[in-house]
Amino acid sequence: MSDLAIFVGRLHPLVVHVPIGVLLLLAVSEAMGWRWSKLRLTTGARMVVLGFVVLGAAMAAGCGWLLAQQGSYDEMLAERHQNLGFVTLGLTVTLFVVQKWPKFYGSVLGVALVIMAWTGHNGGSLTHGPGYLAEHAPAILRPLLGGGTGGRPAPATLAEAAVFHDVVQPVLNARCVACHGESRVDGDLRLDSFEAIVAGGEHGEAIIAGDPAESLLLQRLYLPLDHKEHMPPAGRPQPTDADLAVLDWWIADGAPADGGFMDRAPDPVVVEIVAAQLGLPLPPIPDRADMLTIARELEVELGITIRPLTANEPWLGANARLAGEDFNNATLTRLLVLAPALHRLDLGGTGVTDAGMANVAQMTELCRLRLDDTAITDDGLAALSPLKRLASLNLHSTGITDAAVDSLTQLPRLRQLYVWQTGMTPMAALTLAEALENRRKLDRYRTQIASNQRRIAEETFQIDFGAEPLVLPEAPAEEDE
Amino acid sequence: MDPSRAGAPQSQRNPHALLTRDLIMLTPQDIKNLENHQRAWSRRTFLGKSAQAIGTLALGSIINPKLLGQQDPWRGVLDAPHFYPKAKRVVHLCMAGGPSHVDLFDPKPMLNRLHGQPFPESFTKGEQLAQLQGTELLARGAKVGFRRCGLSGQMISDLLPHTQTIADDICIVRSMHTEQINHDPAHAFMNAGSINKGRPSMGSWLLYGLGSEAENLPGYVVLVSEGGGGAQPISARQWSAGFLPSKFQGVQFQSRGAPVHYVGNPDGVCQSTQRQVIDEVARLNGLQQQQSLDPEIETRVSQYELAFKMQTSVPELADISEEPQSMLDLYGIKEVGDGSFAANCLLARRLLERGSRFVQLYHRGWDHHRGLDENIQVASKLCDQASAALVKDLKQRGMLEDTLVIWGGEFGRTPMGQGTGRDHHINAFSVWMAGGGIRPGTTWGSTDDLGYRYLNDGQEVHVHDLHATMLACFGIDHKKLTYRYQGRDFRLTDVHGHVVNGIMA
Repeated sequence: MSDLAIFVGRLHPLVVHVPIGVLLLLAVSEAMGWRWSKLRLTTGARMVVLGFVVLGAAMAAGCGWLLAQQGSYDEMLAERHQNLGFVTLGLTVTLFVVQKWPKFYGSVLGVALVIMAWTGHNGGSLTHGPGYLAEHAPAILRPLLGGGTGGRPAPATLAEAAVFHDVVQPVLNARCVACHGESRVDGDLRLDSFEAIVAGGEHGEAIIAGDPAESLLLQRLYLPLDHKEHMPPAGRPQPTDADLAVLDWWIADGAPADGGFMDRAPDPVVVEIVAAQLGLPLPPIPDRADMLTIARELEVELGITIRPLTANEPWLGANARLAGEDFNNATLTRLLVLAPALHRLDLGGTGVTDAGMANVAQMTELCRLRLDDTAITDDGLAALSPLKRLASLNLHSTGITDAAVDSLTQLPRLRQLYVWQTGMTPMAALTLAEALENRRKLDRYRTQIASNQRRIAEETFQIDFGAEPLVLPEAPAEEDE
Repeated sequence: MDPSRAGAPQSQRNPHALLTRDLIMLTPQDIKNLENHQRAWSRRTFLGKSAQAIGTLALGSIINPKLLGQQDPWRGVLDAPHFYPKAKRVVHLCMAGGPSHVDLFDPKPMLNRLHGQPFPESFTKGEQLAQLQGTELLARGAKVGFRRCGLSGQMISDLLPHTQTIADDICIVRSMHTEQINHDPAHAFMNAGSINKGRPSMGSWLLYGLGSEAENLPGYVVLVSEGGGGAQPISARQWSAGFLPSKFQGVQFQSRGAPVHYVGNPDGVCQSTQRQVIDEVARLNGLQQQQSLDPEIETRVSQYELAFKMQTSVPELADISEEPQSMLDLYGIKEVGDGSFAANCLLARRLLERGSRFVQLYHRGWDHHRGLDENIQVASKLCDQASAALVKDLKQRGMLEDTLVIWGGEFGRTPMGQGTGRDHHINAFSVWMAGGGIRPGTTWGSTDDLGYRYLNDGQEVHVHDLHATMLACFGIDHKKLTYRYQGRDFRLTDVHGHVVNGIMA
């Protein structure tokens, strides 16, 4: 196809609006002329206007046909739009012919307007994706516009939001799916379902779970706007920083297909962004003033320090180290009331033992925990698996051994672990580090498997039947941990 | 809200702030404050000369009675940091005298090639020099080689073999620059961001802002090591609290022998007797307090209490017998309490463990105007192993993640030779930082081909920027930690300072 043809084809959106506008103006003029005879169009004026409409419609149809030849549109939708376009063209020609007979003329004009509106809606769906108009329409109008009632209800709270369906997919729908969706599949890449994203497009995998920097999807989004490969193309609605943050977090978190958003223990910044995007209230956080009041009382009573970590949030850091052996399992239970706000806890050198770990395990917000120089053993550590946010754990100078590796592997966020002067051997520490890293890789591999299985199914079907498969296998569900 | 005002309501304002025209509006409380302050000031001047840390402590003239309650130790004027903090303690290894950056952290092959030849005039024309002013300037290369270290591949001189082993834990900043070319003002600038006397040092600012977690030990401790020769005197004003309440000033511990003198009880006095004495003094002071309502009496009571606590906490701090021989070997300590930098590093770690907020170790003997080749070996040998050991030790204890380590001098040394040495240099020098919120394994900033001047490449770090970054590691916005004095809000970075986000983790 020559460049000139492509160029002319792409003029379709410009040209098409000329006859639309003129035809509408004609209809308005005729209606007013019917009511007030003074405003009635003269025969000559009508002929000029109708001639202009026919010419414009013909040109629009021509450009549109050229554009359709360039492909990358949903075939069914494009064909319907094309047929309706030609019908509209035919109707304008009919109008031109029957303009002398008012009886026919009026009804043909009415039909032409309706068909033209339908054609236009189809054109809009081609460009912006089907359901574009229905998406934000009032609920009553939605079925009329072909949007359906929209399967799953929007989540009412963040806790109900599903990580992919409610958080990630809406971002893609808003920015990408118009050209990478059902009606139009640029670059052989669809981004309107998890399976499609995993399958990738003509340039290979769209995402590498766990590795945002290596994920083509994000690379394209992060390129400078004037770069040839930047997506979405300049002029299209661009993703906001919040959109990018969501996608970046999702991929870094292993690109989970399902499960609740909050169950992934996302970074507070991401939670804030997602809450804003979904228009949902942030999950309740403890009241800062309440927490501080309790903290001050406990400070005096227990002889430890409990300090707020930031000026505006309730998060607390407690340090019991200075209390030494006086601080024990019994006093530890007194801290439970602060559990919703406790981010850092230093129990180093205190009298807490394995029995106290059941209480520590209830402090699920903990990010930093120090248990060095205490009587803790492998048994106590086993209780700590609910600490899903724990990033730093200090166990130096304790009685833990290699047997602790199993329970430590249960802490998905663990980044820093201190096991100096313990029974843990260097080999076991290495094994643990590897296990933690492997767990992060596991998500990535699972995603890759899902991708490959889909390809196998597609290829097999094409070899067997020579056509597109109708039903795709679901991605395997993740095993429970 | 302005934090200085938040922490210091009207009645607690520094009386210095009262201008003459305010006098007509003085309330009785103001006059009382003024009197108290004068009393405190004369006592401070008297005791300051005694160089006894315990004495320094005892004077703690505080205008804010809130700071003094035994049950309510000073929590800091900020209540909480401005944003999520990474660090909660600092240890500043101050290499007093000015280590040569081109010999230690900033390799300059071009300078080595020019060795012995005239230093290009384009670099030095019209520049302020210290002792080299008006002499013929010759380039002087580095005698000892550099090598890439660790996985990060940072370049570190073979003079510092132990520091080479912690390359992946530290961030080397090569684009440091300062404004003061002589030792004392340069130290003042590094500590307080100003050479004007009466400005608080960074440790005092931290205590004022965040308070201390140590109840039994001072929050800001200074140790000055011995050995190596060529020692410049270090003035006690370097750890002064300036116009901040003197509670926040640094307390110098002795590095040789017992950290604090006369901390034990006299013969025949046991701790319970001492307790009775303190309680009785407190009771009598309480009676006096009822009559005169003098806040200085409360100060006195609380400092008696801290001193009493230090009678047990300091010997426990200094008792290194619980440290295994392997630990002494790690630091390279030959003899406990010998006043060496190595012994001080171990003591610093013990202080940090016990809740001190800011520990500053001075090692003098980096002022190599003459005999650079031999003397830098000596200074490196005295500091290298212990500095690296401190980082390793903090790391294995899990303390490095919330302890900020800063290693560096008050300025650098010229790439031009000064006979057998190098002169003072302010246009470029190197420091390294580790831990508490600093991105490890990074080299930040660069100098020109001869190591003469930092490059304006967006990675230059002024002393004010270092201060702003240090405060940022603590979650403090350096523009918001202020203290009103003489009618103006002061801050550590004055009207300057940019946080160097690139070196923060």
